[in-house]
Amino acid sequence: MLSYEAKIIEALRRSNGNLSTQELTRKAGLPKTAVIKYLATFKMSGKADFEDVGSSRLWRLITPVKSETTAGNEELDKVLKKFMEDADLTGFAVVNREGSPLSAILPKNIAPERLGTLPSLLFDVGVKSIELTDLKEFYRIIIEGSAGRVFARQEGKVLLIAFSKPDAMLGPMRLETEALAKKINEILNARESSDIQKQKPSRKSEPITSQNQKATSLQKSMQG
Amino acid sequence: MKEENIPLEIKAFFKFFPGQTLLVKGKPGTGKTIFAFEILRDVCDERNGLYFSTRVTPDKLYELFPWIKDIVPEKNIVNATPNKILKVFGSETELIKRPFDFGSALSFFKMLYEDAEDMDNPMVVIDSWDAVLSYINLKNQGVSLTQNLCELCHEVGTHLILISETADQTLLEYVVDGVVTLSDTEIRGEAVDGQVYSEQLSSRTARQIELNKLRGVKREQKSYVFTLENGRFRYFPPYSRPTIPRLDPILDIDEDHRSSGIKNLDNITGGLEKGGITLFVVEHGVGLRYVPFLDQIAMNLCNKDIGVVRVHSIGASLLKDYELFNKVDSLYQFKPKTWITWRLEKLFPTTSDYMDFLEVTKKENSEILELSLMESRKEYAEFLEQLRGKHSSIVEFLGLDTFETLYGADNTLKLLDEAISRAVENKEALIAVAKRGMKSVEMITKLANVHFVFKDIMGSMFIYGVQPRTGLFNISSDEQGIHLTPVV
Repeated sequence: MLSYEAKIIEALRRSNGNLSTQELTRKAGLPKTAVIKYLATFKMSGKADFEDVGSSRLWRLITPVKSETTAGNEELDKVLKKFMEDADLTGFAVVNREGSPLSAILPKNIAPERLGTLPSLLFDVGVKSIELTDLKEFYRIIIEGSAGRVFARQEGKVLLIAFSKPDAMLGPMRLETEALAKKINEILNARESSDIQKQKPSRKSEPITSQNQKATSLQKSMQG
Repeated sequence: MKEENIPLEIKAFFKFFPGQTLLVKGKPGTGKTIFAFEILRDVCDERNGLYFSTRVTPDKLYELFPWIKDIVPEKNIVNATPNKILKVFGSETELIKRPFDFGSALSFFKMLYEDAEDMDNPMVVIDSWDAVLSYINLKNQGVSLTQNLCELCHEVGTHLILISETADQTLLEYVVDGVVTLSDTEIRGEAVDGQVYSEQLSSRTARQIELNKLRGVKREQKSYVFTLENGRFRYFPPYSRPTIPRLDPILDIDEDHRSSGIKNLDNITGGLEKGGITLFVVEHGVGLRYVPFLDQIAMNLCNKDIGVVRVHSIGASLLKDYELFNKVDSLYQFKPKTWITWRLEKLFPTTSDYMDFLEVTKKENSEILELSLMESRKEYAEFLEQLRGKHSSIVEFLGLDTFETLYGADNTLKLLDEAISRAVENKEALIAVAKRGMKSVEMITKLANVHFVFKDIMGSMFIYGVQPRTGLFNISSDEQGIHLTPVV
């Protein structure tokens, strides 16, 4: 049986963005109070929004843009999609240390090509600020604007960038991304081990130290 | 069947459109909260009411108004704390940067419904809206937020009642669909020809509901009187003269007091005092609507085989459907033929011509009046004597305005004095009716043991006691006869 939330999303998805609140209540077959509660939550989290059409307001889902990701990242995509559904976020991106997106679901207002420059920019600002203030090690950076927040953190092999509405709670976001980062690293580690196994008979794999050197050089170039 | 406790215009207002917003204004203690609950009870489906309160806890609310439990379940009584409101709208500084929009209204309703039961057809009361606005420092500038709330209510078909502690006119009135004001109002006795009656010096308090604005609804009346008796709001619709049903007799209260046949009146007066005069003064605007009240008193006495003689007030016996004399055996009307003026009445083409004749007769031919009066008194005494043989006791109902019209003010007092003597001698009750405007009325009130006044207020009939002093009572009637409801 579908949850209230799923029923509303399903009704919105089917309507293709032209349902008033009253119609949505009818289509979803839910109590009026429940629909209003969920619509308010969707609006706050950026999942749905309304548009003034004449004297009424029509609701539509805000579909985040799925950016192109490298092949073989289906498992990552799945994890990310699930995470987006549960968390109060408008978008999320996983970028490797080279700055290439592994998987990303971006807010509608952010074009995928911007993702190329965003990670280095964030880290540039973050790391330089850390150096100037002598805060030692760089963990995370939070940028707040009137229309939303960007939260970025480095964790193992990846950079995580989360996008949220301005009033989203920071505490839960921090904890949730921490858990997600662990999971992503586990997936990447598992995949890496399996790649090494596959490559063994044909050619000599690149030593880990070499990979680490590459990552360090990227980080240095970001810092520099 | 539900009682009609709120004005029909209010019911029509909420039926007119599914998402109506009503602003209920009034100073503290005027009954706004009870009124809002009474609307919920009348308009709202079971368990679909939501009460957002800045001042009352569920326990206290249920203790005060136990009858709302079925309509507003405990989960739907939301305690409106400043923190809760600020969480929705943010601090004052944030509000300046981010003006209210439809999203703000949506967030507000999300907060209302957060812990409430699921409702298909919710009806929301916010008590008080002033307090909510003051939490976010918008006391006088809440129009934008209110407008967005109204728009949301229209859009989703949810009725909303906003309660305001101020009776002054504000800009909010322009954005809501309806406005009513509850207030206390001072009711005073009438003055005629500039003469001040002793009872006018003190006033009675009535509660008033004013229908200032009800979009889409025709107002039958602009204002009504209401009561909050037993923690319930009940308005008083216009009163038309009912026919009194035949009721079981109510036994005498004690040796010295007969029951009036109206239980509420007995509770107030202790019954009709034997050997004393119970006076009813009828104010302008009441018309003949007081007559059924006296009918019920008369019928109760008749049902106990007491003979009742009625000398009617002017016009009282002219009611087209007046069938009381056919219904009750021991009720007698006295209109003797020897009363010269009544005999002459038919000779005049109009009532006005007849009244002019009486005035001239009173001034220029007083001997005719005196003769007529003497004949009448003799005939009336004989009539009473005959009845005493038939009944254990006789109670007289005297329309004193008839006496004054026929024989003048001085003779009216003389006739009344004789009637009082008879009542004392026979140890029997005496009922008298006087009309406001009579020259003798002030003197008559001084003779009365019990003195009540019939008054029309906003189309409804009321009675209040001057002796003993009481507040206002509304007069209504049903198959159980006359009821008096205190205006509290």
